[in-house]
This record gives sequence, structure tokens and C-alpha cells, in this order.
Amino acid sequence: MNNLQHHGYQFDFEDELGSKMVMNVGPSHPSTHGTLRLVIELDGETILSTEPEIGFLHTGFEKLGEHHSYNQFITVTDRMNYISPLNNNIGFAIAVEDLLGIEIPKRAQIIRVIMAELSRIADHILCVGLQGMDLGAFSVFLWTFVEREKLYDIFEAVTGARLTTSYTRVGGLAFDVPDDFKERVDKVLKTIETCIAEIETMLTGNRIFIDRCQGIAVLSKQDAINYGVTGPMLRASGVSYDIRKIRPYSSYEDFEFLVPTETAGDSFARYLVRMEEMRQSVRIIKQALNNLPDGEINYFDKKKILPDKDLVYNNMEALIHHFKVVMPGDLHGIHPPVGEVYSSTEVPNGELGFHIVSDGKSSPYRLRVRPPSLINYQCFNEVSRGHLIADIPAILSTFNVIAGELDR
Amino acid sequence: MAMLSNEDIYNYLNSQFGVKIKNYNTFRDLLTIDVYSEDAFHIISYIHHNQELDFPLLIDISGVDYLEYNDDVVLERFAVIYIFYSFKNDRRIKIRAFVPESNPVIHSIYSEYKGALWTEREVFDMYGIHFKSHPNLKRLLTPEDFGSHPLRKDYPLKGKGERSNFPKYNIYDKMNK
Repeated sequence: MNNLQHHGYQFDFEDELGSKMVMNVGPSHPSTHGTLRLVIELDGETILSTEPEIGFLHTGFEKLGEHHSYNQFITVTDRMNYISPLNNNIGFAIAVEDLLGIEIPKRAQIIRVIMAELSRIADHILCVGLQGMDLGAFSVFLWTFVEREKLYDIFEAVTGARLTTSYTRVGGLAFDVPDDFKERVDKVLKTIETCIAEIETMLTGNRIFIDRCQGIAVLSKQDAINYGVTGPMLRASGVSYDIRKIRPYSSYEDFEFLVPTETAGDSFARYLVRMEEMRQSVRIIKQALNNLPDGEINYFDKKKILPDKDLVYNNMEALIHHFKVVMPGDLHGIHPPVGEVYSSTEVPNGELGFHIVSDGKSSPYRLRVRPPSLINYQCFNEVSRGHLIADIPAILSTFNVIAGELDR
Repeated sequence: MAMLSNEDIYNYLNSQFGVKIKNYNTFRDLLTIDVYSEDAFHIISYIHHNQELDFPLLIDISGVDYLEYNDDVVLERFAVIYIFYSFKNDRRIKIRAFVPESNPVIHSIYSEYKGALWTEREVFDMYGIHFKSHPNLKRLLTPEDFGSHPLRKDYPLKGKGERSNFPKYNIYDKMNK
């Protein structure tokens, strides 16, 4: 059946046998991992076309952004990609810092790198586990969930929350890491490395897994670029495009790591890229932990940056500064320069961009989020055509579409 | 071959299009080119296929409503923002196509970049800007029978909201009275 998918095949035959049908998947279906709806046109079991319908989780984040101050919006970014909220926090904070034209202290940058990479591992390990689960390898999913729990314990110790972390502030971080941070992360990294090796033994050479993944949902290099796909999906199609390398932010230029690529562009290549990215993340975290400098975690300009909470309670000037930053109205707030910036960071799914139009007031004039999931999901119709209906969950899980980010 | 800088890219485009480029600026290392909506498609198609410039990756399409924005460089009420990336020059470029309120129509770039499929639909959904010759221009995030365009600046954040736009809810409201 898969050879129907060969380039140039047209599905314009008459339905003489009456085997065509239109099937609805979702919006609430276990294999969609969120509220996604697919309208699938089938011929027997073969997919002729799929039409994804999105917007079930649309919450108006971009409209909210025009009415929230810059620091308030950080809590909203948690709710976008709820699998890796830390990456979203960091991406937004970097966009606003880019607009303000400030560079935060080295310690805050390195902590951000560690947290971003831990969060990347948590996202990828869940994605790989779900990919296994959708193909019947349930134990892989449970093993990955155990590791994810340990990572979430670290997030809880550092940020105070497991899911809605809201860890960054404009110009720095909400609070410093705990004293036993290094020991905790070291301990978790060891088990994660074991876990990655175990997943590899379970899946990479697994005949059933390979049969269900290899040659499925092939996205050619040309198509991937033309569709604007980013992240592991683009790298699995053979393009070495990683924001951490091409536009290094938050001191990524100081770290040694590789950008893994594959050339096949199928489900299996995406799995391999994610596995290798986790190893590279471990490598980055190890370097960062060894070079974590001491010092401040916030930029020094008290007119722009929220002061330390302890000072706010015990120091009058800090209290005044705090109120000047958080109070609503045109006279207060951080007042960035007038202008438009586009700033992006590499999150687990691809390029997360923020396009901020500032008119110099305390909240953005326009805040556009470029969600990687939305752009990546566009090619679903093209890659799923000609495959079997049973492949739909297997393809969806390699796209790693997060509904919160998709619909915003 | 040497990589082109922002200045080079601007000079290149300026020599090619001249008066069609209404304005340009570079803010935080991002080159912005301002054009009118009718010229946008030609310029985008040019930067896609030109060997020197070579912008193959469409990063994003979004919209902005400049209704309450006080700036002389704003030519019309709406703008469609295109951001592209060039692997060859390692540069981003932003093209800001101004769309008039009286005739909110712009040519779709789907024939050049397939990535415009949903992003253009989203701009249509949120701002009511029509994209000519888009294969499937319908609402992306809001329901099909949604009456207005929520990211326009004259759309309120709070209030009675869109409920009145749905005929079926009106029936229930009347029954409750």
C-alpha cells in the first residue's frame, strides 16, 4: 500500500467498488494526545487525504498579550507548550530582553541553559515514549515516564511548580537554584543516560518498531524547507538548522555540542534525531554544571527589572521599584524602546519565535507567537497520504503536536 | 562566496525595485522592508528565486493592526508581516506589507511557500485580510460561524463578546427571557 505514496500519484479514480469513506478522528481521541480533529478520506484502509481541523484549544493568548505587561505574560507562556514550559518561559524572556537590548548576568544565562536542556530531555523522552506506546511498546512509555518524573522533581525543587513553572523574569530569573542543585542534576543525568540506552535497546533494533516507522511519513528535504518545518523534523530531513547554532543565545556559543541530522526524513529518522538530541543535551548540561559561575541572577537596572522579593519586603527603595514595574498604566512599567523585534529560541519542537511590536508602553502593542507545532503540523496531509489508517497515531506522535501551542 | 549583510540585501532590493520599497530600517539586526500590499508578492517571489539572496525558509506570517499606533512610517491600518531566513547568507529579512482598511486584500504566497497554508488562514481569521488565490481560505482557529476578527484593535477584550453572533445561542437566550 505504501507505494501509492510514490511521487506524482493522483487519487482521482472513480469509486466503483464503493470502498471510499470519510472518517472522523477526534477532537477527543486517545491517540491524538490533545484536542486535535482529523477528517480522513479513506479508500479501504488507505488514506487518500487528511484534513486536520484545529482551534479547539484556542484561548486568545496573543490578544491577552496586548493587555498584559511583559512580566505578566510569562505565566501565559507556561500554558502554550505544557510539555516543556521552561523553554517557553526562557524564549519569551529572551525576546523581551532582545527588545530592551540588555544582556543578563552569566550565572542566569547558564542556569537558563541547564533548565532549557533538562526540559528538552523531558519533552523528547516523553515523545519517544509515546511513539513507542502508539506502536504497542507500552513498557518503554512507562520507563520514560519514570525518568520524566525525576526531571519534574528537579523543576519542582528549582521553580516551585512542576508544570506551570514561570521561572524566568524579564532580565533574569525568579530565584536562584537550590544549594544541592548540582548533586540532584548529576544523579538524574546518570539514570537518564541509562534510560536512553535502555530505550535504544528496546526500540532502535526492534523489528516491529522499524517496520512501523521506516519509510512512513517521509518528508523530503525540499518539502520540509518549503513547508517551513523546523526542529527535529527538519533535522530528520537532512537540514542542519538549529537556532542554538545559527543565532546563539544565552551563551550557547560557549558549549560544545553537535546538531544531529538524518537524511531519511521518515518517522524512524525523527526518532533517531530525538534520541541523539537527548544525548547532546546531557552533554551540554554536564559542561554547564561544571562551569556554573557565581554572582547575580538579575540584570542591575532597577527601573526595568523586578527587584529581589526579600528586598521588596525589607527595603523601601526596592518596594518603590517593585511598584513602578508592576503597576498598570502608561506612567509605570518597563517601557521598552519603540520598535519591532523578532527573536527566536530552539525549543524541543523547533523554532519558537516571538514577534513583539512595542509602542514604548508597559505592555506590547502586538505580540505574535510563532509556534513550532502549528507550522510543523501543516504538512500532515502530504506525509500521511497513501499510508494505512493504523499509521495515523504513529505519525502523529512523531510530529509531537502540542495542542496548547497549536491553538494558543 | 561572501555572505551578504543587511545593507547589501537592502541595496540589492533597492536597485531592483526602487520606488516600490517605501521604507526600510534595521532594528536589533533585523532588516525590515516596507511595501504596499500589491507589490509584496513580486518582491517575495524575487527573494525566493534569486540566487544571490536565496530565502528558501518562510519562518512566519503574521498580521498587525496599526489602528492605535502613532508612527509616521505606518502607511495603512493593517500590515502582513513576512519573516524569511536565508541559509546561504545566514540572515533574516522581514517584509511588512501594508494593507488598506478599505480593501483588505493581498496576494497569497502559497504558490511560493507551502508554509503559508495555515499561517495565511490565521491572519485571515484574526484580521479579516483576504488572500487572493489561496487554495483553502477559511477560518483556522475560531469557529466557522464566528462573526468578527478578534485581533483587530477595535475588538474588545471584555464584554458581551461573540455570543450574539451565534444564531443557536440567541435562541437559548430568548427562551430564558
